[in-house]
Amino acid sequence: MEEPSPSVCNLRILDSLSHDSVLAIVQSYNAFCSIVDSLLSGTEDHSVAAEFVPHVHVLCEHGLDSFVCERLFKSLEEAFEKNGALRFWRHFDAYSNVAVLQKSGTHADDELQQVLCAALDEISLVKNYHENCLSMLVDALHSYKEDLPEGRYNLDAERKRLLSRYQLMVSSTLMATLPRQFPEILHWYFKGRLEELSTLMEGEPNVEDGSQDKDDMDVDEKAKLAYKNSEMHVDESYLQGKLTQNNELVKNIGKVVRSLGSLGLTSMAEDAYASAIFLLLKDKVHDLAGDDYRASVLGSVKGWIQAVPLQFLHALLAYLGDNTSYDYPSPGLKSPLAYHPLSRCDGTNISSEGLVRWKLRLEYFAYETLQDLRIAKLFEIIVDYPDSSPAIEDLKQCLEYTGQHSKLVDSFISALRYRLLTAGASTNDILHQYVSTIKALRTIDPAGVFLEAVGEPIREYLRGRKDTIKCIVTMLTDGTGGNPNGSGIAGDSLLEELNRDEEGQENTGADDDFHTDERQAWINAACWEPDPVEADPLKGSRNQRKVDILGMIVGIIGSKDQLVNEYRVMLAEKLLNKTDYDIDSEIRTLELLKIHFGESSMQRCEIMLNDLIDSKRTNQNIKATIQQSRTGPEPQDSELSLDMLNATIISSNFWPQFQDETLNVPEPIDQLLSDYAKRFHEIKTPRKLLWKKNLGAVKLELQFEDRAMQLTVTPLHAAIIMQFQDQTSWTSKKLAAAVGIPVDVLNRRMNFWTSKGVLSETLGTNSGDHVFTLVESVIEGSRNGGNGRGREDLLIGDEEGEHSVASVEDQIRKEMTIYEKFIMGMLTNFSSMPLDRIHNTLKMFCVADPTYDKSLQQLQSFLSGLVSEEKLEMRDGMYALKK
Amino acid sequence: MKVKLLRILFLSLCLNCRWQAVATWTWDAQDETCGICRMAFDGCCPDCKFPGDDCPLIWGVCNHAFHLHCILKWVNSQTSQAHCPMCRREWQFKG
Amino acid sequence: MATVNGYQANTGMSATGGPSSKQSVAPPKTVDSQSVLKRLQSELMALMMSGESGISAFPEEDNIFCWKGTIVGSKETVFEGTEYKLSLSFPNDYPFKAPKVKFETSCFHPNVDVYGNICLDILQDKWSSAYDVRTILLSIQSLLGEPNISSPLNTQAAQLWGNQEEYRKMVLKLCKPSSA
Repeated sequence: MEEPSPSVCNLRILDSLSHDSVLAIVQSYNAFCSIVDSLLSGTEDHSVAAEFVPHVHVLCEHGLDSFVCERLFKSLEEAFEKNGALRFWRHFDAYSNVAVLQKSGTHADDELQQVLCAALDEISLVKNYHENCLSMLVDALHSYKEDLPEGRYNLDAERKRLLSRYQLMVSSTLMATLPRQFPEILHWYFKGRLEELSTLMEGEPNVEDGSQDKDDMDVDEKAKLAYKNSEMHVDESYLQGKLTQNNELVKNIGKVVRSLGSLGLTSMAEDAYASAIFLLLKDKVHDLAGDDYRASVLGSVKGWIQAVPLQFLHALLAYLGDNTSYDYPSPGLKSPLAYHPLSRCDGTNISSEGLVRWKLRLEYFAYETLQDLRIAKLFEIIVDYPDSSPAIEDLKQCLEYTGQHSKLVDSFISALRYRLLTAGASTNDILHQYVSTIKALRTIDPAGVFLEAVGEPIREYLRGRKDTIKCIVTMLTDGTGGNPNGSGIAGDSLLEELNRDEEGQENTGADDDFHTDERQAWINAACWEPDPVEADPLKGSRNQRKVDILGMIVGIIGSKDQLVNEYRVMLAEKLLNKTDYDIDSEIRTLELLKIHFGESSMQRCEIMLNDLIDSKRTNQNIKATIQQSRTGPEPQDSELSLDMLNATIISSNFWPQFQDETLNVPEPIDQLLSDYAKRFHEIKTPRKLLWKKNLGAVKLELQFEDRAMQLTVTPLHAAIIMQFQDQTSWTSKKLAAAVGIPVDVLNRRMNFWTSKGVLSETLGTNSGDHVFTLVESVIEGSRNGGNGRGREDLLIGDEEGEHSVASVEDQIRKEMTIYEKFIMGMLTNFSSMPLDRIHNTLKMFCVADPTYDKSLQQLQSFLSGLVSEEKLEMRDGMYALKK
Repeated sequence: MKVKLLRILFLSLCLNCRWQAVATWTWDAQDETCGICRMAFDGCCPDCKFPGDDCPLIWGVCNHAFHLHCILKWVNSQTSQAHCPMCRREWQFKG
Repeated sequence: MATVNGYQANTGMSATGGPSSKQSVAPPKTVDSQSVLKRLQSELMALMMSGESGISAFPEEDNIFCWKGTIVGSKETVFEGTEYKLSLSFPNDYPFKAPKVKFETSCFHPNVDVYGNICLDILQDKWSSAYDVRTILLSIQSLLGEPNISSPLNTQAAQLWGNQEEYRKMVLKLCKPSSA
């Protein structure tokens, strides 16, 4: 308090007072007090001013003016507490439990609105009255000081000082007595009003489909107009058409804000409507975003921000005359005025700056909300990809704004672990999701930095699965094996798709720099190596890198050689089961693989395909020799002709190893084979044929009394069923001997015919021996199912999953012995070598089949094994032969 | 009666089937690999991409066989009379 | 892929009785290091897989044209149990020309000079493209026990050869045993 303490003054004054003076003072003071009291109790009105002034003058004459002020303030304070604050708060007693509000709906909402308005009106009246009383005192003091010669009393300053002191008193009284629920009540009030406003706005079609620019313009215009008419009340004239109703509502809200402001509750009001706006925005984003990923929602969210909260804020700020500073902390916002359309209002218009801040705050919040929503559902979104690409595009924009990519990485990885990387998910599904993830995320993250982090758990998981390579190869090369949910045209392999993408890029010619790099990468495919899998997403050094889908797929396995090898095994299987030499699609696939993996990697596959082409030609040539030699009588019906035999003649060195199984084919067929081989030798001397009787495919037709079945089966299955030509029932032992295979193999293979209902199985007289009997009619065979269809085409390859080509696993075992011999060989000649040199030497020289493709760690553990077998010893980091 | 019926049935089975058999081809030679390039006869010499017709074998009168391309290189690399790399007899192509 | 089928190629061959009719044969003068590489790789693979004891060889760190070899003296010869290091250097037209083979460790032998040069016919005029690292090393290994005394590079060794006991002492004095 800048005034000297009144009590100190009094004492000094009293010393020099005469008795009369004291009497006068006491009289005046008593009169002053009673007037004040009656004024404040409402029993007198302002007409007592005339009486009031002389008393004040008397007291002032004795230097007691500050004393007068204190007395008045003390009374005002008591009066405000009693008539203002207490009564004001009493209105809200009924709402002490805010939770009730949330449930009770619009009725309670309306009621609350009325209560709040009434309470505010009431307390405003009290406050106005008090302020008038203060004015009376100021006037009285003024009229006294004006008479004094030295007086140059500053009326306005004094009035201001006293009014602000009163204002302070009012707000501190209210704050001191504030009921706990009041901020919440305000929040609900604003929320209710905003919802009302939102409904009104959405009722207007113009708001929804008006372009954003136009919206901006509208706000702009309004901002200017509003400023012209800004003082105290809203001029109805600028409110055109649709806005009238809204502004009525805004005006009401404005009144409330203003009343609250005059009670010193400005910041509480602001907090309340801000939180209501954000809550509404959040609801709106959730509402718009929903679970539909096929449409972009960012545009409509922004449109809505423009149409509802910004219009509201604009109108509100305009109504309030914009004399309050809306200086909210807005962390992380860059200078927004540079590009924003509202900046056209330039610096003279303060309200536009406030609005811009609001707009940025709201948009940031909307981006973040939408981003969080989309991230939470990213797994589903990617499952839907590419249908969900609008959602991905939204997410990309959000992340560009918020920069919270790491949120995406963490959340998505945990979704992956929970949803995808589980025993229940098929390797195919995981792979397809992996590819979709790459496709989807490269939009968001063209540099592939986050993709690296997200992909790693999938890759790691897939590495632990046995069928991963097989599934990858199938996915890459086989159009039909693809996931039905997968993208791309049906019957289209991933490889085709990748190639088409690439060609597409070539045509658009975009990103030339990237592109040449990428072309180069493809060209150098022979020396392609996967990027180190441990790429740290936090290191931005590889920003320029473009996401390479095939590279990321190969990255699962670690080397393209394994992939190529697996493809070769699958190709062999496929080719050997062909009955028509039709390899057009395989040739196409091979061409694509050559582009990506280099010609030399695919050399063996090319030879395999070439064998098929040669076989077709040779087969024709051999058939031609029959035509020439067939000059004698027509062969009898019962004689088999070479017409029914076609051969696939392969260059065995370039094919995967075959499972060598013996097989006795039926005698007539065997004769045909010998004849064929003889003819081959004749036209191809000095080359000859060696039959792989267990390989190939046999198309046959089984005719029964009442049905016919067409099947494509393995030679073994054909040989088995043909044995039933001479004898309708066989024990497994005898049958195995007849077809020349072990009994246990036979028993497993018999399942094929019994499941078709062609043979039936009974236990034999000897234990462990089975008897197989031909099923003669449908009725008898129907119990095994598989009947009723006159015609059946079956793929070869049986249910037991036995393959004619040796598996990749077998080859790995073979590899290890080769590496061991190489290591022993180099250590014999170079006495001792460190790990990395052994590694490099193996890489350098162990290049034939199988090429050395292990990692340093794998080699190290392999060497440790050799050390523990006492074949090697290790000293000072050098390996040497154990002597 | 039944058996007879089935016999006819299965005869037609054999007649109607289409047998796609698989064979490997091989050179009718004593050795497996070419003594010059060390590649399998059934493979091809280092200069060829495709085995078989593209990279044929050739025999000398001494009955030693080589990839045609390999023995030609050897014969042409000798300044004087060429010998069979295996038996040192004078190299002559078998007619 | 040639379009001639096997039948025609074969008859054409037997009719002319010589290769001159084959127009597709590449001129042998061209040095194709790729085919040398393939041959050396297949030799290495064969050598590693053969598990031959007493001889071994392996290419140097980054050059498959330069190998290091190891020979252990055969049993029941004066060289028994001693180990010798050799270097093998292959020409660009290997195997049509012989590799250069030298002892890296000193070898007291009538047909090996002090620089490690070896006098062995198959490495000179008797070279055949059918030889390989394995047969070369085996030949050198047997040369140790059966020197050609008539045209020695090391006359001192040639003279001492008659006294096998003294020769053995000399060998042991000059060479580290293989277990070292």
